[in-house]
Formats: sequence, C-alpha cells, structure tokens
Amino acid sequence: MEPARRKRLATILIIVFFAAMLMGAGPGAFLVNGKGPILGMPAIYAWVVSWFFVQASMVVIAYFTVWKKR
Amino acid sequence: MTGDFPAVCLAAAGMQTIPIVMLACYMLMLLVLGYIGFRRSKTTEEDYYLAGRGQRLIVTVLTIMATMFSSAAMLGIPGLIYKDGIGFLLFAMNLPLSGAAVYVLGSRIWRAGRKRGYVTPGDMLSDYYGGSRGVRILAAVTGFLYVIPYIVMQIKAGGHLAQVLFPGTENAFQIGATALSIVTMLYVLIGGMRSVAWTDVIQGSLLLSGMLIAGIATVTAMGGIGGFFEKVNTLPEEALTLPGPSNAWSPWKMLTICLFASLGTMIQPGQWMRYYSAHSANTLRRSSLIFSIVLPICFLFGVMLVALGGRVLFPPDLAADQPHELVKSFDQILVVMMKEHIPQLLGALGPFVVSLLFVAILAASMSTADSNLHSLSAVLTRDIYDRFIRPKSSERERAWVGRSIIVVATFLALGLVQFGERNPDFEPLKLIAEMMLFAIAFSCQLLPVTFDMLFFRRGTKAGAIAGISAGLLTVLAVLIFTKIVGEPVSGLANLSRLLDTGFTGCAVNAIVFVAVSAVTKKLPTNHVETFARDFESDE
Repeated sequence: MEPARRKRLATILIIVFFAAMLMGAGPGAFLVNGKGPILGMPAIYAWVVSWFFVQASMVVIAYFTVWKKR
Repeated sequence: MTGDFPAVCLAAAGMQTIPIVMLACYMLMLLVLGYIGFRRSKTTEEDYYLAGRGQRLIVTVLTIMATMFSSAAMLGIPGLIYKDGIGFLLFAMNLPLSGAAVYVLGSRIWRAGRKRGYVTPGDMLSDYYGGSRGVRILAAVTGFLYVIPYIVMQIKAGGHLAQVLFPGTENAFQIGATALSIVTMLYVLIGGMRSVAWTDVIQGSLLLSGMLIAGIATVTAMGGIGGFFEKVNTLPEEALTLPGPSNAWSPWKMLTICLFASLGTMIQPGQWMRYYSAHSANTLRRSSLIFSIVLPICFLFGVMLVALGGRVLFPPDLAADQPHELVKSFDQILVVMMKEHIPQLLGALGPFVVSLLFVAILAASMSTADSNLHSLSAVLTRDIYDRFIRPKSSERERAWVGRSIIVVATFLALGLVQFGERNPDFEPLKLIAEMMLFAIAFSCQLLPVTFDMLFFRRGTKAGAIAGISAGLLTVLAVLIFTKIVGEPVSGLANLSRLLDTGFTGCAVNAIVFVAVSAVTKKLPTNHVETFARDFESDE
C-alpha cells in the first residue's frame, strides 16, 4: 500500500476506534441509559457488546493493512 | 430431584478433596516449570530478565495477556459489578485499546530495545532524555508504586480463595495468601523470565478458559441465555443503569478509565519488558490481534455474566454496604457462585470443573504477581543498584541483588495484606478493583514521556522530570486525601468521583511537561533523529 493511502486509512481507523470508545464507554452510553432491554439483554450490556465489535473490527482491518510490514 | 441425590452427595464429597488435589498438582507443576526454566537459562542478566529476547508468538501473547489479567479480572471486577451494578461493565472497552497498544507502542519499544540492548523502561527513557538520572529514578519509582499494590492484590486473592475453599479452617486467609506468595516467589527466583513466561502460558490458558467456563456455567445454571437475561432484567433499575447504586461510575469516569487505564497498564514495567523479549515486531503484531479479540470476549461473555448472575442470586445489602450473608466479601462473588451452583448443575463432574475454576483464579493471580515481582527486581537492580549504589558491581552480584529484591518485595506485599486484614476499614487495601485503579494511576504517569519519545519528540529532560513528578504527586494527593485521611477533602473526592485518578494525574503531568519543555534546553537534533530512525526502522 502506498504511504499516503496507508496514512489516510490509519487516520480513519483511529477516528472510528476512538468514536466507538466514546460511544461505548463514554457519554454515548447516555443514549441507552435507563432504556428497556435490547434483544432481551440489559440495554447497557447490549450497547457495550456492539461497540466492542466495532473496535475489534478496526483492529482486524489495521492488522491486515496499516500494520503490515512496509 | 431424588434421582440427583447420589450425584449431589458425590459432588459434595468431591468438593472437599478434588480442589485441594488439583491446586496442589498445579503448584507443583509451576515449581517444576520454574526448575526447567532454570536448567535452560544462561547466567547473563539479559537472559534472566528477557529470556534472551527470543519469545515466539504463543509465549508472547499468553504472557502479555496473563500479566494483564490478574485477580482483578477474576475477583475484583466481578466484585465491583456485583456491588455497583452494570456501570463498571463499560470497563471492558479498555481491552481492544490495550490490545492495539501491544503493537502500536510495543513494536517501537521492541525495535529500539533490541538495537540498544535495553532491559528496563528506565534504560530507554533515561537514554532518550539525554542520559537523565532523574528520569531513570522517576521511572523506577513509578514502577515500584505500580508493582507493590498489584502484588498485594494478587496475594489477597489467594487468601480469599482459601477462605471459600476451607470455610472451617482457622487462618485460612493467611494460609492461602502465604502459599500463593511463597510458590510464586520460588519459581521467579530460580528461573527468571523464562520460568515466568512458561508458567504464564499454562496460567494464561487456564484463566482464559476459566473465564469462559464460569460465564457458560452461570448462564446454564440460570436457565440458558433467555432465562439468564430474563432474571437479570428483574434487577432494580439502579443496578442496570449508570452511574449505579453508589453513584460511582459515570460514563465520563469510565471513558477516562478506559483510555488511561488501558495504556497505563500496557506500559507498566512487566509489559514493557515483554515487548523487549519478543522475538520480532511481527510477533507483537500477531499478539496484538489475538489480545484485542480474545480477552474482551472472555470478559464480556465470561466473568461479567457471572457478576450479573451473582447480583440476582445473592443480592447485596447496599444500605449496609455489605454483600449477601453467604458471600463474605464483594470480591468473593465469583468463587461463591461457582461453589454453590456448578456442583448441582454438573453432578459428579462438578467438583472437577469448580476445581479448574479455582485453579484459574489462582493462575490469574500468580501470573500477574510473578511478572510484577520479576520486573520490580529488574527495575530496582538496573535502575537503582547498578547506577547509584554499586556501579561497578559484577553481573553475578546484580543477579543476587535482583533475587534478594524478589524476596523482600514478596514479604513486604504479604505484610501489607496481613495489615489490610487486621484493619478492614483501611480504605486503600479494601477492594481489589480499587487497588488496581490506583496502581494503574501511578503507571499512567509515564504515558506523556513515552508518547513524546515514541511519536512527538518535542520534550526536554527538565520537562520530563517535572511532568512525571507533578503527575505522581497529584495521584498521591488524591490517594491520601480520598482514601487514607479520615475526612476527605471534598474537592478531591468530587474530582475522583467524576474522573479517573490516572487521567487527572496525567493531565497535570502533560501540562507541566509541555510548559517546562517549552522553556528549557532541547535535546540535540541528531540524538532525536537517531532515536526516531530506531523506533521506525523495519526489522
């Protein structure tokens, strides 16, 4: 991958990763706080699990792209 | 239910002996691995502390995960969720970031470490900041302040486990805590990093499978996935919402904990030395991927579910700030859940599974205690003894000093655990998870200088010393005024309720670091450029 493309992709991955952190573990949790169950699970639990999958996806993409040996 | 009677009787009988036999076999196996590590080792310092810098993927990933996941993961965090409800579950979001740090920070540390022969974090930081003795001492102090509470937590977990395993035994807590300390100390003493890493492979596998088995067993015992969540949804609203019954876990606090606790844990001396000892940067890249996915899964679908189930089955008396009458301490909820429910669920097989889980708890504690004892020995020997006390000491002398430090640190931690047991109201030693957060708050204070060294390279020697000192003093002030002094200073108490203490210290640290760096002498350009090349060079 060319350096410019690698850098652009890395920036996008970092932004999405930290946005997921902000939503899952940060003030984003207020969006579901006090709401009823989601898919039968407590809302906060379902919310955290969903954002974890977003973060994990960013790490997987980074592993196969920007972290590859230059 | 009469048809189940023989199985339950067998299970009850098995609960007396099988855990003891399995724990004894496990301890013996650790000592044997320690001895094999000793036989395979060379007499050099680099071999004792970094296992010759040749650790491959399985050893690297399991030792990093086992060092990260301690008794806090198996006892402390479930205990906190049992006490304060679902709020602390947000803590799981720190794990993918910790995993990513293994490559993003670890690979740069590995490259420069290999090229320049570093052994401790202080070696690299002080060399980068112009051979600064002040930075080296502060890195060692930070490591010490992190490591001691972390070892205390692990020893305490051994005591808790013994209390539940041998309920009628006098001094069960003291016996459990002492046994865990002595066995861990012995295999670290004889085999160094090689023994620590090999035992971590066994311990890491045990704790990961233990976490998942505990979750699966709890969900099954409570009626499957549907039945489990149906029961959990009946918990009082305050247990299923933020900031929880004790008003402690706001999303802002959880966000700052996730951001700073994750990175603080990943640059503590034990992990830093694991980056040095990896075989290659690619080993760390693969480890990073496995860590980011496997650990959060074990956490979210394992022990977290046990804690929520525990709150349903053993509701705590929050008005009196006490756990359920059958649970001696909040930190024991996982152990009690396993002991009470698995034997009934699995019949004759139950005692084996429960024993495996008890071994997993012990593995979580010992794998972290061993890494921390070992890294503390390296830090105090290389950064203090070798530099300031006897700079001309031989490698053999330093090896013996390192081993003596392991013995002293073990007994110091054991003494603190006994003190905490005799003074149950002494806040800093009360809950495992709270001790974990304070320990990490100290290790966070190396974050600004580490990020500056690895990525920005704008800081100065004076800035680094001033920043770390300011950060450590801030964390100490919060600890003293909120946990030790009887009447907490209300401003600091409110601040520590609103934001993670590590974050607060880091913010003060970073501001002082930037301000002092702006007005003091820069590091020579060629020195900085050489380091930049070393950090970024391909293998």
